[in-house]
This record gives sequence, structure tokens and C-alpha cells, in this order.
Amino acid sequence: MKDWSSIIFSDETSFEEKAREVFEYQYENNAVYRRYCEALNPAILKRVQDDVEAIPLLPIKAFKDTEVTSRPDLEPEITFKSSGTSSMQRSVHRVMDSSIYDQSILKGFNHFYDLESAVIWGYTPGYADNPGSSLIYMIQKLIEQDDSGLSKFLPLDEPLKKSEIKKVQDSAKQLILFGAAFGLIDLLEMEKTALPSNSIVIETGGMKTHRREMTKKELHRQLANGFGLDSTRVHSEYGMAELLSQAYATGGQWFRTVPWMQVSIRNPDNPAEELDPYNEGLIGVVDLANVHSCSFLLTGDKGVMDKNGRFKVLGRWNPQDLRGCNFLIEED
Amino acid sequence: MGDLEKRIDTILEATDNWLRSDNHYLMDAIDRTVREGYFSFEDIKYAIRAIKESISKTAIEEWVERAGITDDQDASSQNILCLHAGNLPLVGFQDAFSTLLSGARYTGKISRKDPYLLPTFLNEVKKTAVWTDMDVQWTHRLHDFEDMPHDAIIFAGSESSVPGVKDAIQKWNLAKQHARYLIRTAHFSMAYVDRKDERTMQDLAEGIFRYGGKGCRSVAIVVSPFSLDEIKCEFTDYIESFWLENPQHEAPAPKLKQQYAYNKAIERSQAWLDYFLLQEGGLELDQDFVCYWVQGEESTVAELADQYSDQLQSIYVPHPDSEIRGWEERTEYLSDAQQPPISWKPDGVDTLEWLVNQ
Repeated sequence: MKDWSSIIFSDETSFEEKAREVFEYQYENNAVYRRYCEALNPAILKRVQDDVEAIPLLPIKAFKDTEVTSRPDLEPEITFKSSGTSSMQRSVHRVMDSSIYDQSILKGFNHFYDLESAVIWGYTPGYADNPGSSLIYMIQKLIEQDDSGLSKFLPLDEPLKKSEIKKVQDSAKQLILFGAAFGLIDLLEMEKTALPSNSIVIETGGMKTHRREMTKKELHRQLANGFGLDSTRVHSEYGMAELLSQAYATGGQWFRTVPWMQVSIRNPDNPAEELDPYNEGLIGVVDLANVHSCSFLLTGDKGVMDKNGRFKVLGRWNPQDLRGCNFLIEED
Repeated sequence: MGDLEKRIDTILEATDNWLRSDNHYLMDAIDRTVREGYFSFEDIKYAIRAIKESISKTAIEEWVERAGITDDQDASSQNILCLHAGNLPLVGFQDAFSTLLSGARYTGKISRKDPYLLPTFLNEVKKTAVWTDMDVQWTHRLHDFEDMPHDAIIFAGSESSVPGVKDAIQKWNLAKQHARYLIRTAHFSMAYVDRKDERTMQDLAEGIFRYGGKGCRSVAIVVSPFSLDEIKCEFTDYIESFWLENPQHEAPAPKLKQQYAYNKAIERSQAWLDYFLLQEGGLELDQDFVCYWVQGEESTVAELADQYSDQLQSIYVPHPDSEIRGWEERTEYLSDAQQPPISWKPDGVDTLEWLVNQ
């Protein structure tokens, strides 16, 4: 079997070459993806040899509807599930080689931050409480790397302790606090707590709530105020159970990806078509760390890209073409 | 003769004149609509025939009586703004017709997607002695009516489009302070089909594929004791016959092919019809040209109706023995799916009654 880690994370090979190799592997071994590609274009293999951008993106809902794997012969080492209530159909991502996810987490984090000099706090349930969450697995993995003992999951429903903050400050390390968007707001509602000025707060999404609605900008403003930080110190992470790589927005709302992940914005009416910068569409992701499931995915998220390849997430895609009468000011 | 009787007779006369085979204005409008690619000739012809068959003196008198309109109780003091959608030919006809019948003044924003057909009817109405230029006004641009506040506004919308429409109404000062809104949100209909006889299959094909499936009365979900695999070969013959006589006007976007490929990927039963997709389950209702097939009984219909109540227009059954418990008010015959009576109730609301009972 190929050493996929060395291929995916290699600096020597171009992204396109790696993507083509992963595509051929998944086309060969992932029955779901193969059927999808063949139904779109029976000559897809040849087409991709000529043009790597022709690789089809599988709708991400496949992780809800079926088993998406390129290693049907193996039992998963870990299984991630998307968040949701018990009555909801949830995505299931069977991870056949957890070492690839581990490397993706650590290399990815170090691509944007310096893990060695960081103390990681997670204001989320602990891993033992929620082993199916890829996010919590990620935070756990980051926490494990710190042998100072300062990194940890914080107890929920308790305000931050000044003494703990002081300990981090004394260690001369940088505090990086992870939490779901409204979890962090809840934390601040208990007590506003100033963090050391070099700290970073990373909100991991989770803007959907029945309790309140807030724009991302307003959320970041409230987090910056509450933690006594400059607004550039409030960052965002874009990840999901179906992906084994993350993108980060390190100040502002534009996300950048790790080198083994690429994002494109697709025409919702024709997902094979990439849209030009600043046009809104569906976010397409190529995540090579998904080598043993499916790396070529079309999300249900709305997004936009700038000229430098950064992207912004604009929420869930809301289809405009609902059948039936619908008076639209612009069209009618 | 009372005002109401006069209105009924006059609107019937105007409708007759409008539908006369030598009405060159209507013929030109049809020709232009087809030439400019808004709708197919077959769909326009069908829509006009459905209107013609739905209008008679008896049908109007019964409707008026049911709505509680009399000479003393009507909407004659009201100015009504109708924002017409344009997803089907003449989809706004019933709103215009009921506004006029109610005695109210009609202001219409004609859809740019169906720009020619309805004005030919309105012109016939204006030729009569009952309605003047002041009583019947329309435009294709909403802001032409700036500073003409109305007592009531009728339109169809979705969760995402309603705020934008209301903003525009406010911006152009088109609504009085306590104006009433009749907003329809239903987007699709459902059919229960428990037999495979010729008539039922033909009605089902009409219910699903007429107007490219774009009407809110179009069938988007079929519930049947038969699985799609059991019925699809047979049903495909009827679909082909339907399309032979009514070629589909609009080609679907490439994403439909993607949905087909996705169904293949997850091994979901489906029937790929080039212009349309029938698929078993996977109800998302997020794109045109897809009809969902659900194997089940009448109780399944009721469950789905409860689940999609905000978006559901009508439930069709093929025969009187079928009963959808709790949804009797919204249940109609499958054969009426695309040719409803003039008095049908969009979103369960009788427009005429709503206009009069303020």
C-alpha cells in the first residue's frame, strides 16, 4: 500500500499531481465516488488526465446517505459524526487511518500558529464526552502536544479563572482558546474576562442557534470586547466532520487553507463550473487528507473567493429556485 | 340590476371577448410570448383552455355567494395591489379576476417573465362600462406606482423573498399604514396514486410535467403503494406521450444531471428522463425538475403533509375512495391538478372572501 502521508503532505509534488493521484485511487477504490463520476462522464479518467480541474465534486450529503470509503476492506480506526439532534440524519465519516488526520491537524495548525509555544484551551465538551466530534478530537490532539500541563478542556458553565490565565501568562506561552461561536458568547455572559493581549480566540462556527441571530462581524466584535482583545486576535476555523483538514481565518473573515486542501466556489446550477472571484456560489473543497474516504466534495455552504484564493463563508446555501409562484423583485 | 350582478355579467362578457378566437390582441400576445421564449405554445394554450373551462355564470355566482359578496358587502372602497408571479402563463389571472369581481380597484405589477398575456385580458375589462382607466391599472415596474398606497397587497413568496418585497413596497410607499397582506408560500403539491390505470397515469403525467413542473399545483411528491421501480417502465410510456404532445419548454440546469449521478452513487432508485428526474425518496425539494416518489399509503401522505405543511399547496387523489385524514380541505382530484376551478383557494384561502371580509 502506498504511503499516502508522504504523498499528501509532500512539499515536492504539486497540488495538481497529488490531486490526480488521489483521484485515481479513489475512482478505483471508492464505489460511491466511482459511480458518481461515471454517471457524470463515462470517460472521466481520461478527462482528468488532461485537466485536473475536471475532477467531479461529490455532494457532501453522501456522508449522510451512504458509506463513503476508499478502503471498504478496513474497519475504521475512528468514526466522526456531524453535530445534530438524535432525530436528525447525521453525517458519518469513517476514518481508516487516524495518523493522517493527526498529521493534518498538527501540520495544519503549525501552518498558521506556533503550537510549541502555545497553550491550548478548549471551551467545548471534553473528548471523553463526545468522541464522535472531529473538532473535539482535533482540540484534544493539540492539547496532547503541550507537556506543560497548562493546555486543557475548560469546565463548561464556569467563567474563566484569573489564576489560570495568570499561570499561562507566567509561562510566557501564547494562549489559544477554541470554542463554538455561541459557546464563547455564553462564557462571556457569565463573566467578561480579559485575556493576555497576545492571546488568540478561535471560534469554530456553530452560528446556528434558536436562541439568537448574529452576524459574524458582530460575533467577533463581541468576542474581542469580552476578552479584552484587539479584533485581529479573534480568528475562525472552518472544518466539519466530513473533512480531515481545516481552514483558518486569522483576523477578518477570509479563510486560508492548508497546502493539501483547496477551495473553489462553484456555480450552484452547474457545480462543474468554477466561479470567478467575488461571485457567490457553493463552496467546493478538495481535501487530500480525506484520501481514504473522498477528497473531492461539494459542500452545502455558500461562499465567495477573493483574487488571492482566500474564501469567505456566507452561511448555508438557500436555493432561490423553489418551484411554484414566488414573486421576486429583481426578476418579476 | 344590482352592482354585483352587473359586475358578474360584465366580467363574463369581457372574458368571453378576450377568449374569442378572433381576438388578435390575445393571439399577438401568445405569439410574442412564444417567440420571446417565455413559455411554450402548448402550455399557453393549455392555461387559456383551463381558464375558459373554469369560468361560467354558474361557477361565478356560486363563488360570489360562498364568499359572501352582496351589493352591500363588497370591496368597492378598496385599492388592491397584485404582485403577479410569472412562473406559469397567466398565473396571476385568478388574483386579477377576483379583485375585479370583488369591486375593488385593481393595480397590477405584471411579471417580466409573463409580460404580455394578462394585459390583454385587462384591456378587455377596461373596454367595458363598469371599469375605467382609474379602476384597472398595471405596469411592469413596481416604482411606477410610487406614492399610491394600497389597502391590501397580494403576492406569492418564500421565506427569503418576502422581506425584499415588503422593503420595496415600503420604499415606494405602496401600502397604507394598516394595509393587509395576502402572502402565499405554498410551492408544490402532492399526489396519492394507488392504481395504474390509463386515466390515472395520464393525469399523473399532466400533474407532474405540465409547465415543466413549475407550478405550485404541480406534483412534486408522489406517494404510492407501488415502488418507483415497479411503475417506472409503464409510467415512462405515458410521460413520453405527454412530452410528444407537450415538448418541455425549458431545459434543466446541469445540476439536475448531478442529482442523477448522485442518486446513482448512493444506489437510489430513479428514472432519468433527460428533462426531468423521478427519484425514490431523498426529499429535498430544493430544485426544479425533480419529482420525489415515496412508497406508502394514505397515512404516509398525511405524515408528509404535516411535515411540509408550510410549503404544500394541494393533495391530489385519483378517486373518491381515497381519504387523507386531517387534510380533507386540501384534497382534490388528480385530474384537476392543472385545471382548477376559478374559485380554488391558493394556500387554502379564498381570495374573493379575503378581499371582501376585512
